Amino acid sequence: MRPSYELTPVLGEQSPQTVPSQTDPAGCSESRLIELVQSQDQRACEVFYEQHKGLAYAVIVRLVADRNTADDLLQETFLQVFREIARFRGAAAVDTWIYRIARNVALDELQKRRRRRLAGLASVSVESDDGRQAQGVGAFEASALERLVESLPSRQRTAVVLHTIHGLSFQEIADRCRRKLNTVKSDWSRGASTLRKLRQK
Amino acid sequence: MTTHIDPEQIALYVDGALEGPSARAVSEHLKGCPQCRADQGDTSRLLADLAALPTSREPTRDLWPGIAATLAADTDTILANLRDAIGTRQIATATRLIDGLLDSLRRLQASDPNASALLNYFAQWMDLGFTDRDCEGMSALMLLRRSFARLPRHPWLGLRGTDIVHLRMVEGILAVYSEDYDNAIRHFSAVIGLELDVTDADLLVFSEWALARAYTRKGQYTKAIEHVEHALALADSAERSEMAAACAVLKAWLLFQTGKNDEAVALLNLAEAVLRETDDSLSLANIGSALGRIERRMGRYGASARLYVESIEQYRHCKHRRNHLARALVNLAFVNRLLAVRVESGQRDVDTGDADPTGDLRKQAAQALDEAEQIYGASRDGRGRGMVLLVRAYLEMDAGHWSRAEFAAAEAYELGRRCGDLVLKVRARVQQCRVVHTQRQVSQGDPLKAVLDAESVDAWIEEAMHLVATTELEHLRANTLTWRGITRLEYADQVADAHACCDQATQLLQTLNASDYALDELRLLEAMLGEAGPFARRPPMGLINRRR
Repeated sequence: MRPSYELTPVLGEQSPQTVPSQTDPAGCSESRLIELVQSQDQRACEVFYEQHKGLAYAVIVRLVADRNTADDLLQETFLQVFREIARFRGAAAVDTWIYRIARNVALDELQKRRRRRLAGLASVSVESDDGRQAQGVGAFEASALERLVESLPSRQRTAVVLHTIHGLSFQEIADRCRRKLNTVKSDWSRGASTLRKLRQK
Repeated sequence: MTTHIDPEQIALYVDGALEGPSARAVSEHLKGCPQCRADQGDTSRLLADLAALPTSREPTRDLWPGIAATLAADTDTILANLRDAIGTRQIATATRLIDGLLDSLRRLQASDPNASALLNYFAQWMDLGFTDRDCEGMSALMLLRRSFARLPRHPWLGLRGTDIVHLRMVEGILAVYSEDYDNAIRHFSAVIGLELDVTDADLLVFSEWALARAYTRKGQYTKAIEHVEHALALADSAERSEMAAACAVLKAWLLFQTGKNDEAVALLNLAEAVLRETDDSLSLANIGSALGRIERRMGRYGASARLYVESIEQYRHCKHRRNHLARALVNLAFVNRLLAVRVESGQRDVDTGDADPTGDLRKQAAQALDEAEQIYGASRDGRGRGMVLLVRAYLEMDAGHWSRAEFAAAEAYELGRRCGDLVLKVRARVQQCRVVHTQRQVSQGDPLKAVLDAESVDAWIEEAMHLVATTELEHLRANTLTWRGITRLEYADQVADAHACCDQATQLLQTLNASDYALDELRLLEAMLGEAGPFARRPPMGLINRRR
């Protein structure tokens, strides 16, 4: 029998060696789901992907304005998410964290395109940077507006998407894209003004 | 003719990005210009519509199968996650990842591309408190040894640099668990020596930390502190606050060894604040145990006992690292015995805490020792078993069981000799002197035994002095000097020698800010020196009062 030593209550910590109970990832809390994903539970990873893919895809497809590329970048985003999730400490909300990764993946892609173009290697299949015309704009429902945004030149689109749709400040965009604050403001105002004109057509 | 405002300016105005005079100018103009006001309305609607676009959009096709296939083939991902979980002390996550890797470990082949990295992270995880955890029907330590045996041995010709680093780490960790600290130091130093090739900051932090731990176990504190400082700086620059906290715990211990008790306590509290955010019960229990040791050094035995009781409870959560629990049990037993002596000698002060003065502190001490002995019985921890015997010798001595006390101290020495543990050898030799001397004080025996005792005691204390001089354990050195003083005075009439020992011990204990049993024993030596002649007799603290 274990002797007692005038024990005082201490720490409600769980034993680190506690074996996790088998839970269905689909029904569990976000923090539990993240724990399961951190331990590479395949089903949990799938549920996690299904829950968060739309958010990541929205920012990616708006920034790159090309659905095929966006699909590839969404895959890249989630591979990065799963590779780094052990570091995720819940300090930022998980949505914010994934959104930031997705945004960076998309902005890196735009940067690559710019470098390719500068090197004279721009492929004809890289669309939209020279102002692709929107087609079939009828009533200005959401999808039509999305298409108008996609038709903007890359820098104007980046500024409008990040500032007006996804809520970043001009300064944050300038910092992330390594551009001057006034350049970002000017890109944005030109983008907004172009969109207004396109919508009036 | 009216000049209208540029639409881009209107957009910036609507967005709130215009300031000062520009904003005022636009505002003034809008009041009198219906066309620009219409533009303003359009822009506002556009921005509102944009802001209202859905935050989520569906990809055009199902991408999950592609992601899943890439992930499945991605052992690097799992190992990267494992490394991060270990680095950030997310113990449960690391353990779940390890569970998923056990099968690969059991079937590990030298040709597996990630074999050495896998083994290294497994070894690091095991080091977090899982040596005895069941892994596929054997302990984690056994699985590590067996898997490692299947990989190529030194000099690792033809292996990649990173693989060599991983294998060195594994060899170092295995050497620590065989108590072969010189070999451990050799391997960890080699990893650090390869610094230019090691880009993984976590690996470097771990190596420096492990090196500091190995030097600490050898009693080489100057070297230990040098490496723990490196580890701390590296952990800081890599923003690994949990690893930094683990390093801080070791640094605090080393500061305590040089008498910087307040700094040590402050550092332990900082580390505790960081580690409380993790599920690293072992480190938290280690912190409690270190605080208990510091309180004991300051003579606050009641507070010390309470901290040990708390850390014992925490260690009980770490089911797979029983030796830490055993060590805390031995420490609790010792402090309970010290409390008992203090209570009996009428020194009960405010800080004896909840101790029952009539009570069974010694009984509790004996129970704790029994439990510790049982745990150590299953392990090969020579120092641990030796420490049980040393505290056992105190209890036997207090009960007047002189032969049993002598036997326990002698057995502890023998264990120290067999495992080459010189700290244990020193403690055992001092304990042997303590037992013989105490017996002599309370029962004037046979004159022949007295002559034999004098010879033994002289040899023991000289050996202890010689050994302790090779370490940096200042507290133990002070206590050994005290006992050398007592024995020189008592058995050889060497008053000058005894004075010299007393002076040196006083200086050491002052530097260490010690107010514990070592100081009590030094006071005893001082009293003996202060007596009229060198033959003056006076039993040590505690015993004199008990026998009244």
